[in-house]
Amino acid sequence: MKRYQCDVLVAGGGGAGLMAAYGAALNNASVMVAIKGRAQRSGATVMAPGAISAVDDRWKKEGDSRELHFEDTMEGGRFVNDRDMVKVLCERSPELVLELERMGALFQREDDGASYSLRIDGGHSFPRCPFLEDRTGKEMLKAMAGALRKLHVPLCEEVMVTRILKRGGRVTGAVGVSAVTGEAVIFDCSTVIIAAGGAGMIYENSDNPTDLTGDSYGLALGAGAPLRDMEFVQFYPVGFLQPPSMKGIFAGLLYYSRLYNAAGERFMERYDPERLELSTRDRVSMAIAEEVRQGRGTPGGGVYMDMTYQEPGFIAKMTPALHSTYMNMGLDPEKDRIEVAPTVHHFMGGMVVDASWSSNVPGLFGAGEACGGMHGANRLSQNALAEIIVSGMTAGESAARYSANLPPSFADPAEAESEEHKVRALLSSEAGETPGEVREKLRKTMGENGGVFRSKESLEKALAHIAELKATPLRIRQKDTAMNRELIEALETENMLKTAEAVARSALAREESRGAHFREDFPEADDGRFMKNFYVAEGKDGLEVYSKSAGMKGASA
Amino acid sequence: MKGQVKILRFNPQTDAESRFQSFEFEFAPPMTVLDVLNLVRERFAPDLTYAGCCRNGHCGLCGAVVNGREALTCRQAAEPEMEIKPLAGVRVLKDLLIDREQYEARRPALRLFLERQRAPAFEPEKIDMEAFELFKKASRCIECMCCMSACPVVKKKPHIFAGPMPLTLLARHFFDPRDGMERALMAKDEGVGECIECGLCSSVCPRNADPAGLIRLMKKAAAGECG
Ligand SMILES: Cc1cc2nc3c(=O)[nH]c(=O)nc-3n(C[C@H](O)[C@H](O)[C@H](O)COP(=O)(O)OP(=O)(O)OC[C@H]3O[C@@H](n4cnc5c(N)ncnc54)[C@H](O)[C@@H]3O)c2cc1C
Ligand code: SF4
Ligand code: SF4
Ligand code: FES
Repeated sequence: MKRYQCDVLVAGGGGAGLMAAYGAALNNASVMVAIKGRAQRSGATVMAPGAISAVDDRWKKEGDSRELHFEDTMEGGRFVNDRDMVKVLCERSPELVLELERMGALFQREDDGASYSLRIDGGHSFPRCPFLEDRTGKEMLKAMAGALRKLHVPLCEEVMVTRILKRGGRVTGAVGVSAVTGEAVIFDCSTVIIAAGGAGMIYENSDNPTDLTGDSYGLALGAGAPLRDMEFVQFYPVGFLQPPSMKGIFAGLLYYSRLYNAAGERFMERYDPERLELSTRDRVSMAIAEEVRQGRGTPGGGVYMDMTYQEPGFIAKMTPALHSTYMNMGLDPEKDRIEVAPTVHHFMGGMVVDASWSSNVPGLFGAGEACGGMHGANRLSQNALAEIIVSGMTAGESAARYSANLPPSFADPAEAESEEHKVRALLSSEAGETPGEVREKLRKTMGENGGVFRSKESLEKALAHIAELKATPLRIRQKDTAMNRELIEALETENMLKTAEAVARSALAREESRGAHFREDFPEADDGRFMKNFYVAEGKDGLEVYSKSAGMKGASA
Repeated sequence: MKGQVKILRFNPQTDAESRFQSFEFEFAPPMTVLDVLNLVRERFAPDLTYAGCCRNGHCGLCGAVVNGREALTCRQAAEPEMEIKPLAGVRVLKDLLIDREQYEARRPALRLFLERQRAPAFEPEKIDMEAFELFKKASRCIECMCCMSACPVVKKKPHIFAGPMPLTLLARHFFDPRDGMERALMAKDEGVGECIECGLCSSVCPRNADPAGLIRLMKKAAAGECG
């Protein structure tokens, strides 16, 4: 058993986690970061090609303003966002973009070498997003990891945080399991920031990396912090269906392709005859799902994306990165049609925090995709990369402030003992299903019943499946404690099931369609009944759902 | 169509030496090498150990030597006949999993962060666009270590020559026009002059970071400034 001491523990090492550690370190907390994977090599941030939304007088386009960024974000979120969080996002993001440059990043400039090149994307009124090449997320992480190493912030890599410990209602530490040794790790700390990202792995198709298994949500619920907005799961219309290792990965750009169903029809003609494939993402996703449901899908359960009509060499020239992806998996976009289906991209929901990123549990904070509220019912592109710097920095500052006057906190070593006991029990269990088998079932039922289309019936089916899976004992085939991936997968499975249940329960409660949440049995938005947010908390008999009003409709900063 | 894969296996708890183990699989493109590894793990060898997180060329964890050539297993089309070995020139922890701590230990000396005396007077500050291009190229590195496995000098002079990956990481700061450290001297200390300019590192680099090209430029500067 390993034991570490600090004031603030950050659980998760994506952009939000590293920025939170930076914020805490600058504010003189002793901080460390526990990462299930490795820094710069785990989580979604490292994969994000896009840009960081940020409006500032020093680079904004004429007519743009932070008020407009605020309004765009509220509009995208269908007005159920937390207004205070959105305000902080718009206010703080620009300064933190510059802070990233001070930490070592550089963003693309125009020929003069000084003014930022800016991107625009769906939902933003103006180009307002600095970026670098097609690897903005990576650039951010390089700067953050460098700055943390400069400040000697310990990165505790390949440790999965499994539980947050409390005494007298306050955080007193956390326990985890080392993915390398299989041993328990104990953190003595008065303060924890959850920044363990989203949960793409609960769905059959997702572009998320394999470590995003809803640990943020499982940890929060376990610590007594409720979640909100879990029904809002964002889909991107075209992810690969083949090969299995790339299932759900972003498969291409709709403006260079046509979509056909298995009957050879260019089906978008029926759903949006004017814009066809360039319709909104939500509509294209729904159209694809509808084709599959009507029996016109491909064998893999999707549709065909066709680029063969383009001039030879065009795809290679316009999308070099994607082109090499195709070729590297054995597909030639000039000859082969590609099987695609909607894929889970982002979780708008998450732990409930206020605009200082504090939860209701003293000593517990959150940052990044772990938290809900910022994006409401749907997220604008490029707002997530802004969110991770703003929420990270703010949570880091708040955590440092909270922990400053507290004496060192000690966790009960018996808690680590119980974690090791759990590991031993998992390793010795002979009956049941492997984590891989359970996941596959979960991901399938969430894809079919809790995906693009939802209804009372489908969601109840999903919940029944989840209950069955929860009752299924897990069996691990490999018995080593060290370097045992199946063991970590077993620990993750618990979080996946909890997250899936939170999504399904919230989706069942929202009897309307709003943003990314579409109920076939309630296809319209119902402002009268649902200008509110659904919350999920861990009760005596499992997860409980309740709601609160979302404040006023309309947008003004 | 049936495929055949030979994987070099090693478990430090039970094996005195590594050995090849063969598996048959259904070769059905599109299929990556990672698909084949996943299949083998799921069907035949639950203890088969290899790293990887992102499935799409970002995390740099999944490198291996496939049919004699370094590649990211997630971004390499499978072939019906394959031989898969761990990356060379680095300790193997288990099967295809390599020990990265060896290189982590070198990291602090490289001071891989921006070092400067003064903050800029105006932000965003003006950047030399030519240097920025090289900074960008070096920053594409995902630390996959494919180049380290391919480089002939790393094998011959493991202590004198840091190798193409650390030098590429250093190049980010070397070409950062804001950086105030003596990066050329650092490059010299890391043995940049030992590179024989064979270009193998660039030929296997999955992210077009062009380590060989960057090293050539740094080598010149190191020779000029410090030689
Ligand atoms: C493919 C892809 C492309 C995207 N592109 C864009 C874009 O262009 N623009 C944009 O704005 N947004 C984009 N997003 C969304 C955005 O990248 C994410 O919302 C954001 O990066 C989340 O950051 P995070 O730090 O909260 O979590 P992540 O970056 O996902 O990091 C989570 C971290 O937590 C660790 N972790 C998980 N569980 C545990 C545990 N139990 N204990 C300890 N550590 C744990 C993980 O290993 C990882 O280090 C994209 C997302 C994906 C998947
Ligand atoms: S060019 Fe230099 S660094 Fe690259 S492989 Fe050859 S010797 Fe090694
Ligand atoms: S330079 Fe290229 S091959 Fe070498 S570690 Fe970086 S990305 Fe990998
Ligand atoms: S799995 Fe991440 S680079 Fe291959």
